Amino acid sequence: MNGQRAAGVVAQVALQVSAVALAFVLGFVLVLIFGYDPFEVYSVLFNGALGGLENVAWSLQNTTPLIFTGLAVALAFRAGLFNIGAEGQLVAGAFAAAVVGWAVPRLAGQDLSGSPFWNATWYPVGAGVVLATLLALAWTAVPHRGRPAQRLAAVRRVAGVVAALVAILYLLIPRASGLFLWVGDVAVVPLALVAAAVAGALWALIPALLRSRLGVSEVITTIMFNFLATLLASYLLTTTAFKEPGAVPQTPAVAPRAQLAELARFAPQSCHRDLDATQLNTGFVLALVVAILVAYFLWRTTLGFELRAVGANAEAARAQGISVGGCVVLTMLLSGALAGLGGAEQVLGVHHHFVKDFWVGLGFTGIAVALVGQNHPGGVVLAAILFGALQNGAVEIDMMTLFPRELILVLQALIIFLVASGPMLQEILLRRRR
Amino acid sequence: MRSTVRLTALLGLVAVLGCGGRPGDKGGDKGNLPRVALVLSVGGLGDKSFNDSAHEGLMRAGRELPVKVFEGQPTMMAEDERYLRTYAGRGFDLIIAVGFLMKSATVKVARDYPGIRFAIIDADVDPVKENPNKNIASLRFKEHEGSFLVGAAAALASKTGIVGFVGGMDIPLIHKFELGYTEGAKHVDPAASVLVQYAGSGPEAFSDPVKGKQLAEGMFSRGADVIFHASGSTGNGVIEAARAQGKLAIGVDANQDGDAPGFVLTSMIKRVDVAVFNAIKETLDRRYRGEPHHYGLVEGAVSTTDFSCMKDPVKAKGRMDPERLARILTTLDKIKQEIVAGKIKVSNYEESH
Amino acid sequence: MNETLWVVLAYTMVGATPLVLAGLGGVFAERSGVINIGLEGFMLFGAFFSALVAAKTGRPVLALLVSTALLAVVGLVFALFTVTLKANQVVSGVALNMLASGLTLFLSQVFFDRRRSFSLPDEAKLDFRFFVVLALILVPLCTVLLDKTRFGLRLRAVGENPKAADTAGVSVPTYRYLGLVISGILAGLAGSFLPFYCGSFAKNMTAGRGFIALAALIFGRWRPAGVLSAALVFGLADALQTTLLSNLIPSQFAMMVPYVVTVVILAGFIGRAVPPASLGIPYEKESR
Repeated sequence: MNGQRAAGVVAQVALQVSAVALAFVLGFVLVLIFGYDPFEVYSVLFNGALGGLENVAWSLQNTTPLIFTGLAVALAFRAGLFNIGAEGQLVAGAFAAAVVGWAVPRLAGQDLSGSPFWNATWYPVGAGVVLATLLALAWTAVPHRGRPAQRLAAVRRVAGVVAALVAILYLLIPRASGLFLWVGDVAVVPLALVAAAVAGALWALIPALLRSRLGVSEVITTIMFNFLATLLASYLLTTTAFKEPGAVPQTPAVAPRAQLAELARFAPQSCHRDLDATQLNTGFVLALVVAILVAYFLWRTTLGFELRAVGANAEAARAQGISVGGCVVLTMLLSGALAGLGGAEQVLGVHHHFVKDFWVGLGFTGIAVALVGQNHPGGVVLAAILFGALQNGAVEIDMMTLFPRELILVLQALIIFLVASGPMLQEILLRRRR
Repeated sequence: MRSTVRLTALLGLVAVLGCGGRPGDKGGDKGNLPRVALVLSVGGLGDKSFNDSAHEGLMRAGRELPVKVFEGQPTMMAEDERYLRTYAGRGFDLIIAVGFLMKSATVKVARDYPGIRFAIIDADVDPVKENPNKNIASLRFKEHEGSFLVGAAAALASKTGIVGFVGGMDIPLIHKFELGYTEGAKHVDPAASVLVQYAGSGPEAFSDPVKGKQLAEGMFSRGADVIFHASGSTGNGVIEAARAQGKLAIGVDANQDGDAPGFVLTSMIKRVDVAVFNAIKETLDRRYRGEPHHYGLVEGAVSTTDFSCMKDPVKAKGRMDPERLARILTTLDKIKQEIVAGKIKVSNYEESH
Repeated sequence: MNETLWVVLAYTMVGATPLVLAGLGGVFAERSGVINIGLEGFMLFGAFFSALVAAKTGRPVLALLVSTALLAVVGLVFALFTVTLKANQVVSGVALNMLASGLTLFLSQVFFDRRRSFSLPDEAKLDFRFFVVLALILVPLCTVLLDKTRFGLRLRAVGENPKAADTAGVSVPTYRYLGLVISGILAGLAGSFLPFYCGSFAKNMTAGRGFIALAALIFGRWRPAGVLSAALVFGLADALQTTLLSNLIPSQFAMMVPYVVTVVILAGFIGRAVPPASLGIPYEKESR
């Protein structure tokens, strides 16, 4: 049984590897056609991808957000959902992380009783809104009679607890500056990460609800929400409230204590020279941990089992009493949260600002990562490393030669085409041989 | 052409192979030459504007000076820092960032690499807060002076008394062009009216020729007959609109007169190439200064073109009456002298706002 | 005021034309049952190929013909993957967009000495109004083709109920191939409009128009006339923002209109949009 499974895995991996290899061969031919020396180009590419500690670190830095978006797509896919919206969710998460990382440390320790949101006019209003939200949540938490909506109720309970915490924080902040100081100092990174995950999840909420309630394909809606996110972000980057003064469209820098530590700090002294340039940060470790958690969730929890059951056959799952709609919503929210975390890593760990356009391609490459990684967290990590390394190879080609770096985009596209059609190609080839 | 590409690719490779190409790692005949890197702004080569101009300066340095040149084209703003850091980490002798969008990345990286020399085009850096290591040379242009000249030319060439300005990204630097242009137009024709529009609020506003043409067509239909653009490759659309409607456009940064001969009155040339070349030369001569450099009319670094395209009866097909053209030229000469002599004071938007 | 009206109208047409052409392309792909997320990529290929040939030969008509032929090939390749090799259609669309973005920039740099954008010389230009007229003619033409001809009937049958069509002797793969080739050609024409309109090619110059066309396709309920009206609405929204309301409404909000409208339509708040029944499902002949 185990041997059989191992053989299956080997066959899978072999198929993916041969698809990737075929893409490289096609790229080789392309380079040759246009009169360049493919050996030169490929050697720069591989040197950039994996040559030396510094380049490995750069590659892993590229890899990190791709792990998050790859996991987001993969998790959704396990439940039979196609989350094309990872990019938009990542943008939402990144923006939330940037705002928390910048604003919370600034507000901490200030007397807030006079500032907007907490002044005499707004405090009662805010308190009212918070209480109303709480009441609404308490009401929805009342189980519906005759419906197997336990999962959804669980979601609501969690949401209720989160809302209650927010409310308590809000009400206490002006009264207990000691608590707030703690939040602004020690807890700002976790707070920013949570904010990013929540924002990412919220950005997936409407497509999730449309899918579960009305059966509207999430493919189109999540694409639309990508554009809405990027447009909204570009708008906010023109407003004085969120844009740093100066010409560069970015938010103010997050506070140093809100930044994710660079891994170079923990490395032995001898490696510093190589690692100093890169911004490979603890976000990479977080990505690996999250990948393990996703794997645990999928194969070791009831919820994960239900999710996979819905993905395998929604009708059968419903017959077993699994709330398909609840499962769909939950999966999309988790998927959005994963993408949102990726955005937080980019802002807190790499750019330290929410800078316009940093997200371009991260979501769509995440689809490629999930595909090549066969929607398995381990595969996703490996595929993310492949794509991250390729992209670093592209930068290396651009920086050190006059050859167009876009060859790598072409390679990526070819990899997707070939991996997506891999099983069928294999079948055709094998059939022919027989 | 392709063989040069391949040759240079090969040269680049020589630097790369060996371990990561750190200084001192390489021996060989080309290995010990100083290395200079230019990091272009989003939009990249082909904008016929400041990226192309900076590229020209770099290529000239590569031909004429004992230096190895490298060039990076980040595909988005978020990559700028990564490019700058890598070049810095590899110990390049001078790293030139093209464009104000790279300012915050340049400041950040220059702080982390006090031993590396940087230069940035089009951005001021605060000497105390942003440039404590004195390793950023900020290369600034007096765009307002050049814009004043083309503003005067536009008003003189206009038959309707309405002239237009299409800006790229809506930021102070581009307002500097706009204000100089408006002042120039009003200087020769106090009754002239200036229509102003910007293509957008993000970096993409510098590479959207479709939008450029739409904006220009809108202005032409509102009576404008000359439009100055300061919008990178967005301006290619402005020039196309002028050509399609038989009106006039004014180019920017590089000499764009030949893009649509007879339809481009002149171009406000900004010699980014000269600034780049000088920065490289100064570094090689050990005269590098990590402080602001100003290039203006006096230095010949901002100016109009010589109108040769417009004068050429074959190319321009006599689209402009020679007498009128001659009058424009004499007036511009006079204004040029007056600006140089300080008799005309052009407002600098960045200082007044 | 009259002038302004004229400008708004002109803007609307300029904005709508590529959306109409690409949207019609979407109609043929999706009515045959294949989701075409790759419209953006087809458009970008069309923009690049026509600009490339026009710039190199100075013959715009030739450029348009070559580009059309190449786009038919791209459509065939896309069909090869999605229909014959049964690759996931959405994934293939994503890959096509990536391929277009990469290959056009790659070739641009190869052919134009590392430039990512290039201008068309004077003699290489084609009056863009040709495309406006073409789009307006194609809308009724496509309606007739889809609704009144045997080809259209079969194409729709393949998209709605491939099994029944197959039983009736209609080759599902053939019609899906045809749908995708037509889709590629039309979306390519939509792309060609752009360089001829503004006289140059710029990197990723389609700037999301393929996805707006996708929105127009849904808003227009997968019908040519619907696509036209949707494109006009989206074009008008953009035109109003650029001309009259530029100080009132930030451009980003005007640009959101197509996406918000699509989500609202899909949610069924203004009449439900129902996609072709077999959209996105690869056809398995032996499946029972």
